[in-house]
Amino acid sequence: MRKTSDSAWVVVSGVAYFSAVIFVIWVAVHLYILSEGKLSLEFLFTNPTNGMTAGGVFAPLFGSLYLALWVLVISTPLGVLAGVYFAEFAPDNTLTRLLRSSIRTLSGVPAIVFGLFGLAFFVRLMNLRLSLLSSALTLSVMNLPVIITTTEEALRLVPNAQKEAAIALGANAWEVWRDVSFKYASGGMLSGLFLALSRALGETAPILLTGVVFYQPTVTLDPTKSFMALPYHIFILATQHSKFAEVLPIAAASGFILLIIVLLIRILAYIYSRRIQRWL
Amino acid sequence: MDLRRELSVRHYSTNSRAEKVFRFASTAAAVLASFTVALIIFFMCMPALKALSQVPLSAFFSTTWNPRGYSGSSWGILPFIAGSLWTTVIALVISVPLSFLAAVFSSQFMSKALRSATDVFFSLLAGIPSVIMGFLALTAIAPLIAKVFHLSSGLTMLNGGITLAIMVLPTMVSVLSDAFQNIPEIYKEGALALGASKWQAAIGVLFQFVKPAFISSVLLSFGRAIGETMAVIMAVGNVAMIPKSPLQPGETMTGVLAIEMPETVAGSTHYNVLFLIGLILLLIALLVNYLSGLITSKVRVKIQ
Repeated sequence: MRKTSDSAWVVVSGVAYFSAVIFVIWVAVHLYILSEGKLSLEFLFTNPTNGMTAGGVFAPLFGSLYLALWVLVISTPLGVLAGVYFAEFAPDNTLTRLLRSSIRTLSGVPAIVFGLFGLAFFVRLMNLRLSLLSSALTLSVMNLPVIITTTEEALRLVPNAQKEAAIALGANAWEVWRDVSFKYASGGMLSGLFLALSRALGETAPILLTGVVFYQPTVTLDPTKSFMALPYHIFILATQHSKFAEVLPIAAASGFILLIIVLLIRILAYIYSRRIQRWL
Repeated sequence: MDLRRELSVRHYSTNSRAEKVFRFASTAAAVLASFTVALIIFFMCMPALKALSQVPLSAFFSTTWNPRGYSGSSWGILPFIAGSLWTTVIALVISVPLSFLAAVFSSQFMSKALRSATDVFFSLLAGIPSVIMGFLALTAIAPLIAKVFHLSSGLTMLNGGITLAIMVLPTMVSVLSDAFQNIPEIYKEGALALGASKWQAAIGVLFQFVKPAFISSVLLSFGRAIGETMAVIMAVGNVAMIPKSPLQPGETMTGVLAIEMPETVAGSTHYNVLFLIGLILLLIALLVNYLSGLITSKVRVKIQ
């Protein structure tokens, strides 16, 4: 009797577990079916036309990728350096604890609150206006905790024997870090950067209030201009467009592209984070 | 406490110039990064405090939200608080039991090889952009709800709750599954030796050990669900009224911010009141963070 009830529970919990696995695959299939064959190379490289009822996703795709580039350029040095501080230099005192808890707090703040902060601080106070730069700075602040914690974790897992060997060979602190720690930890750090990248590409709320616009088909490299972005494009098509049925396949196709890009980056992040765990 | 001896730069510093520059740069980066929290709190408080001086406190505790009414504005934020609570509670009611089951399954009944092959899907599930979850809510879950409950539109609190449940699930599963795997084998073996089935061992014995992780994962999910924006906007219909059942539309705190903020004039009462709502969200996030930190530090003390 006990055995039957046990196996029933195993089946139920197994279904709960595998439904998550199946769901991820189903999302991609669902988007693909709704896109009704819109996906093609041409779709990637043409701009939206006819009041966004035709054409492709070139400007939003470019905007998202360009935004992500700026986010990485801003947040990588800051996040990696701060992570190095917590792993290598931070003394065990009240100040460190305060800094640490600030970073942890930052990771729990909702995306839309970052948007409000970006609006009040970067857009208005620093007078960067509604621009790609304002959005990139806002997303960078949001990504800092991710990069800092992964960097710190990765550095903490560097085997002491390796460092000791380098010290015994006469390396100074800088050389130990450059030639041993950094090399060992680079995989783990990369996983954090990939996570940050996937968030920069997929987040909507922080850019919504800081510079993204729904139609700006001329592509520019000037970061002080407003821009189109893939997630916002999908949001606008799915909720604000008067001809919903007409634009639904375009929204689904855009969603499929965004999903594939973000998931591929996530897989890379996962592979690199597994590399950290293997050292344990 | 970390028992492993830490070999940090402090222990073998030689004060070379490169090291000094490096030390200074990384300290500055850490201070700057931490300082952004203070900046965020400050820049949320400024307009929010203005809102409190412009609008009497009692005006917020009303059920009508009408920033641009003909005969004066009404600033009742209760509909948004109700909307946020409905969606978040529905999300937790669905995701807590599901993720508990999934965590027990993955930690107790799966081989390590199989788990490492399927674990990546939870990381992927956590990575699905919220706008795509919103798109699913709009095009897949809402029509289903409309059909099952015979509604004209499926854009309801239930729709938002289900969508959020899927979004918070991966974090809960991985936190709980890790906690289960960290329990020393001997407790499980003891329970099995006393004649318990694997399932009974997990529920009756092992659950005691994962309780703190369980509570803190529920807290974190609460924080994530109440702060989620895009998916919820696309799922709940955005009507500023207090929903009386899960099958009614509503609007969340995050929703009203994202929808109305782009239309407001900077410095207006409307703008300030929206910041006040943002400050409430921020305070909830701070509280959740503080409470989950409290639980983990308590656990650490216990282990010592």
